[in-house]
Amino acid sequence: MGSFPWPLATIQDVERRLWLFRIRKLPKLEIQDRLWNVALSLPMVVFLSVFFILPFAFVFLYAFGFYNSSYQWTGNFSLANFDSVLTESTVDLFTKTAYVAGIVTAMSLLFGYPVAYYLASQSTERREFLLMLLIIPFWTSFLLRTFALMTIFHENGLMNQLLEAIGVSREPVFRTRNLVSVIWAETYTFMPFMVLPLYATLERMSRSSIEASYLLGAGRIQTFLRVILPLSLPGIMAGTLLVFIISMGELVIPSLTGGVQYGYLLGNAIYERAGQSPGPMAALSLVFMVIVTVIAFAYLRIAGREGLRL
Amino acid sequence: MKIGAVALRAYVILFFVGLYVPLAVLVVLGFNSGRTVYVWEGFTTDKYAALLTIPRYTNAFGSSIVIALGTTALSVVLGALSGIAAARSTSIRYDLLWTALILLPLIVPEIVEAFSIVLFYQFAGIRNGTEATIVGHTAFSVSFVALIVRARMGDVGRVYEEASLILGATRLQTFTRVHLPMAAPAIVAGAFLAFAASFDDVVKSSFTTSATTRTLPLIVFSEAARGGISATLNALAAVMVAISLSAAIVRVLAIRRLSRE
Repeated sequence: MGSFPWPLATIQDVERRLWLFRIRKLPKLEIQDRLWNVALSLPMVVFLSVFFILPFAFVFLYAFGFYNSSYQWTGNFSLANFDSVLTESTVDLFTKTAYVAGIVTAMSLLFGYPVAYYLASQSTERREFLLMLLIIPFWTSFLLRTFALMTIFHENGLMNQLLEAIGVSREPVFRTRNLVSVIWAETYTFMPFMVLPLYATLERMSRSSIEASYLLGAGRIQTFLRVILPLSLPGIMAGTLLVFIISMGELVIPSLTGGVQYGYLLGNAIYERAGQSPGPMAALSLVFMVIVTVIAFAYLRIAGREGLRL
Repeated sequence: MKIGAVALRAYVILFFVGLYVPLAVLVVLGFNSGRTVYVWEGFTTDKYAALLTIPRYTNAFGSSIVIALGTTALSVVLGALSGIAAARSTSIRYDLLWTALILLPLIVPEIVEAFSIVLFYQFAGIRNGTEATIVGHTAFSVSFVALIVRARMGDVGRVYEEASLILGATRLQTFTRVHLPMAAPAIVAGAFLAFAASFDDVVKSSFTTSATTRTLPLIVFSEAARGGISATLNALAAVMVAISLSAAIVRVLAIRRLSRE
């Protein structure tokens, strides 16, 4: 080894310098670091506070009567808006919306689970490719996908022509503008929200517990019901909750596929009446948000407890 | 046992065919020369050509593009800065607040969000129009950019940044010469997402656009909801599918490449 152009530091020297660095420089750097992080996020935080959080304050103000329906400040607290909204027809609307959302959720689970299961069992290469195939249409406009479904399943559409051509039925089998078409279209659109969380848990599941089940003599069906299904519960919970909440608020798909009669759900009510009666609709929005939140929490608790028992 | 595996495979193939066939049918029916979209009567490109002569559609296309580009620009600036910061942060409180703020706009039902911003605009005296819509769309688009950038920068880690600081670069220099270039692919992917989210939006657009700035999805929605799927409307939908599908493919490929690196 040649000689160093600088004197070799002793261990003590290095320790002293490190100590000085920790005492003098590090705290300063850390404070700088934090300030820098805050500064970088500041524009977005300000933006979202003004254009996302603050607007919600106005939903409260309108719902509790501080503003009247001609957008004037009254300054008085009142529950009149809730009175006018909490009627039998609103309850019916809620029930109908929850009913549609419930069936959509169940169907997504039923039709989505096999796909997630298949995806998780493939090689990495194949899996990546299939995931890509799944995600691409998911990011194209749901409006247009609904539109496409409508043309295909229309009374005179392709599906009915096909069935007639192969002699299955002379009468149109599929029709749009009913509750069934609303449910199918929503299931079709929201499916990825179910498949992706399911896939995430199935993929992470350890092979050894499945193998153990086989080794201990369980059959395929038993293994699925008693090992795979319980272990995928977190994914099932996340997926069903996601699909349910999203379909509760959906309004474009129902009104396209269900028409005025069947496609008038909760979201449509707010959408159509927001302009003329902002007060009552703000009250309805609040009730809606509260109910959705309560459902979400209750569901997570129940499912969590059931999960422990399984 | 074998039968089960074959059946599963057949089902999955059917599932994926089902995902794409409707989009393909939409594009093909755009070439149908018949008066209705349903019955195939021959090949023509007239329907697509006719789109260009209908001012209702071309104007809407113009405002859709302007709004989507504006949203993309605003979302990219706000989201990239904040995404980079979030990846650097070591504070749990910062992370928690950041995640809550970013995820909320994606979780809250869009109809409630759109309604609330209208009430706010009423109070603030902001008129509906291009700017109002851009701001409204950015409120959800920014999340996409921020989330992707944070994920990317979290993977990169802080080694390069530390190296840059130790070698004597200032924080600003580190930001422009190290952070931005490393985040660039994620920013591009996020930009595509932001663009698509804005370009496809119905609910928020319908609350914040003015009569002269109606976007394409609004026109498709209102015409289709009225029940008339005309051949030209179908062609319009096909063009929009082509645009958003190609954007989606570019985006997914970009993200895939990112995760491979």
